[in-house]
Amino acid sequence: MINRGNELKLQLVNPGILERYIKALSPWFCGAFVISLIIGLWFAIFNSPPDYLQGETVRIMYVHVPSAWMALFIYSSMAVASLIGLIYGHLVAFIYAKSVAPIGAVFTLICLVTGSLWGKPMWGTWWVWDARLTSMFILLFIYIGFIIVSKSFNDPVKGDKISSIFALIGFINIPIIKFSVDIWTTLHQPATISKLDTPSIHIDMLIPLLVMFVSFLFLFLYIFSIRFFSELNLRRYVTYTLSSK
Amino acid sequence: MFTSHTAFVFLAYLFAFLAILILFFSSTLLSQKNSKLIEKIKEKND
Repeated sequence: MINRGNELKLQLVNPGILERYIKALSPWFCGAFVISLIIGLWFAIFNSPPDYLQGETVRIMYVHVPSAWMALFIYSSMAVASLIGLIYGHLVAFIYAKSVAPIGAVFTLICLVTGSLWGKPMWGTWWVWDARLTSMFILLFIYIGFIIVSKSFNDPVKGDKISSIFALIGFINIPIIKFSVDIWTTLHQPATISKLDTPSIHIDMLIPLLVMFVSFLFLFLYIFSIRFFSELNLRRYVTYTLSSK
Repeated sequence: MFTSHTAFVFLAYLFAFLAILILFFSSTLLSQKNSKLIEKIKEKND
């Protein structure tokens, strides 16, 4: 006998039913993104203090840090989805990984460019090949590699498997990015928010940072919902074309 | 006062805004393109 919990689980692994859920939630994601972005920008630009050393330049942090978090979060979720896809062979997991990869790549690019724009006035250089910056740069290429590999096969099943293995291999880079500032001597500062003791950032700066992160999270969910339908429709078309041959 | 530091902040926000805008429009266009493929299948089946 199927209880309510199991029934919901079954519905969520059915692409058609999941599509209905996401379609219903999509406008809410968009609305939540717009509202949280307005609040976040107001805090970041008008209602947070300049840094005593960096001055106004510190405001780049409110775009740079949430983008970096999103880039790492999206790649980690892609790797988990790829693993689930490889073990259970489920279509939703493969579609998820393929849908979110371009979003993660854009967040990585935003992180790199805003970091460079922050580095010039603070470090006196646009770029240095230190561990944190280089590992983040490699992440961008891993994202691009995943997108290319996933689109390189006429047979979607084969493409799913190869790109999932690629995503899992690329996951090695995530802990390297996270711990690069602790292991190697870098120009990049060490972690300030995710420290095990209290964060060494003032609450007036922490609030806009977290609001901007929430805003980026809703943006991710909204764009994912668009890309999920798109990928699902493409799969339906490819399956139809292959089966009618 | 608009200083060179403020210019870097402005450029960073502008870049993020443009990148998100391009991501949004490319995703929407791709979604519309793939929806048309499904319409084609429906027309064929009808």
